[in-house]
Amino acid sequence: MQKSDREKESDRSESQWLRPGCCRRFLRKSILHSTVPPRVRHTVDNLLYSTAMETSPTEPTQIDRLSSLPDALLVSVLSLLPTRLAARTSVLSRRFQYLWKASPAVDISFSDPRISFFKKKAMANGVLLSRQPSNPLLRLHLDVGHPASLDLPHSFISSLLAHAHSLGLRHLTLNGEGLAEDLQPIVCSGFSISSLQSLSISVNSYFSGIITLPSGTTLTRLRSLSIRPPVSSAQVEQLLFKLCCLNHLQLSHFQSTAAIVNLSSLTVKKLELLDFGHFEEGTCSVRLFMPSLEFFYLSKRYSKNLPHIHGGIPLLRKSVITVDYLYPEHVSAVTQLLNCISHVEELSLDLKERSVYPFCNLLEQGKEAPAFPNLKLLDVHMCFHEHNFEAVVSLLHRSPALQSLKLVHKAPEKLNLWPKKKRKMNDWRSKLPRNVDGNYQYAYFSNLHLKENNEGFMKLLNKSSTPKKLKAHN
Amino acid sequence: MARSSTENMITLMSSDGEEFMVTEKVARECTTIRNMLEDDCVITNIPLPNVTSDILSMVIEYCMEHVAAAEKAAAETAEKGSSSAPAAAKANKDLEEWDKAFMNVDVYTLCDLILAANYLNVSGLLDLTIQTAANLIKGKSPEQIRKTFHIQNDLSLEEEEKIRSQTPWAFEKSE
Repeated sequence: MQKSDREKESDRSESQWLRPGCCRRFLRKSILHSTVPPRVRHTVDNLLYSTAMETSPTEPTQIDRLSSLPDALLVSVLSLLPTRLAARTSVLSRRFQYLWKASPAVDISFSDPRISFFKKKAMANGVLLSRQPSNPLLRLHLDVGHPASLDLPHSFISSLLAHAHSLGLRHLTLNGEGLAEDLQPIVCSGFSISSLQSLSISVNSYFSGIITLPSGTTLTRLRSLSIRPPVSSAQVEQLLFKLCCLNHLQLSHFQSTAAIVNLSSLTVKKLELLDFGHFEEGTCSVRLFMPSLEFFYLSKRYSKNLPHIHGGIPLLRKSVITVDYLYPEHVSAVTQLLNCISHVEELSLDLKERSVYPFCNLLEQGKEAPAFPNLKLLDVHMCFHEHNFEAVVSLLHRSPALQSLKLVHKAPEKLNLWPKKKRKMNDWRSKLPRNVDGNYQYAYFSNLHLKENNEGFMKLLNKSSTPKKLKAHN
Repeated sequence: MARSSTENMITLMSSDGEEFMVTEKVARECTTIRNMLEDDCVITNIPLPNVTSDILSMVIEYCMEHVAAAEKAAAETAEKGSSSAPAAAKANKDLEEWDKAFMNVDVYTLCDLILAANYLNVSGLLDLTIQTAANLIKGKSPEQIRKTFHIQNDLSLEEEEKIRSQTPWAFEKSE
């Protein structure tokens, strides 16, 4: 007991170190333990004394230290500000008059209603078009708003992008909205900047037009690509072949025109499919051939359908699946997905089901859960009603390497809108075993491979096979 | 990992002659010192003529905190085979909170820290201090910025008007 008390105390003193201002305490402590030679001890004592004097709340220093910083450091401070705010520093003093112009990051927004269009154009001229090649531009955030309604000629935006290209632009974020044909030239200009390392294009198109990407893409240095424009799946397939060092691919609000989409890349390590769906509300299959893929993120929020994922992703380590509005017709896609990623080490599932009657979210009826031989971390947020609970338990039985497990019960929303039959409410209740807090809302186990929390975990594993449940099943 | 108890101690000497004993691991957080150590591995006493003692003590404090956090995470990983995601997220959040509290300093000290972090090449501290300085500028009028950093306005009224007229888009009524 004594020992553990002492341990606690040492823990406490350690946690005190974690607070700022404890360095001096550490120095003092090291003196007490005399690990510091006497010579240093003397100076440390001086320090303790002198800093105590200095940090006492005397009058604040009135000296302008900021202006005395070297240009490079001041520019890096200014580069973290939006261009509009950085430019305001020009009137601070002579020192600051031109500094902001050297910032390697520029953001121009044509959608800001607070600024007149004339001034926006003046801004684009001032910060971008008049910029000299001696002053390289690394980051550009360009929000073209709704170019048609702003009377913003494509040629002007294209000239901005062309000039950014000549300044060696590395990272481009391009946002806009409108008709596909209006946005087409702008998107194409973005795709023609060969110096880019990361490109993020988010285009909100109202009608079902399709943007044709330039065929001869030269983005050979591109590492990160995020697109949310109406492009055809064939174009994305072709584009991927050309991007020879792409690491990160994000496809958002993608509407496939084909029933099968083949995504192949030898280099992509991180893939994110957000609201990937079929153009005409049919189901869509995605075939992945990504031998380097390590992280796969799939989410469905606004789209109607969940794609069926097939493929060759042997190095996959981590997968995060988030589905809002999960309907019974999505279950086959979930089952297929689990089969496809069954070699992951970390899996996170967040499913929000929508239905009148509870159904099994993970597995099609009559199918068995796939084996997860490498799974170490599992994190599941869903409604743990009877069907889901049993599916998860059978999945756990087939995950021998599991180390950490987190199950969180999420009751379906708008439960009160459904007929208030007691039986029905009971159907949605969490079947998780009672936890340490005395409720059924979550189950959390760590260090399972050390056989630590074995008792609670075994209780969870064996819970489904209680006689009562069996009876109900029959 | 096991040699942490018998790890080399290195003495850092500030511009005003104060000496600080730190472990080699903490000293290596500063890329400048790491390069020195890699060039000459028997070096134990490093004079830092550009850093005062109170700033150096803060830099060491930052490095110690971040080394301790990294060691703790590594120890947990070694113990459990892999770090659990929620624990790692919490540790990150704690460190962020610590950084935030650490940045609760006056602007004079902040600028000195930027200089020291740049000179010693502590990238984490440099990012943190520069972001803090940017946050202090954000959302302020030029007059307020001058007041915050005690900047003397050496521009005449006409000059200031002229600069404003060159970038009218920057001085539109703000939010």
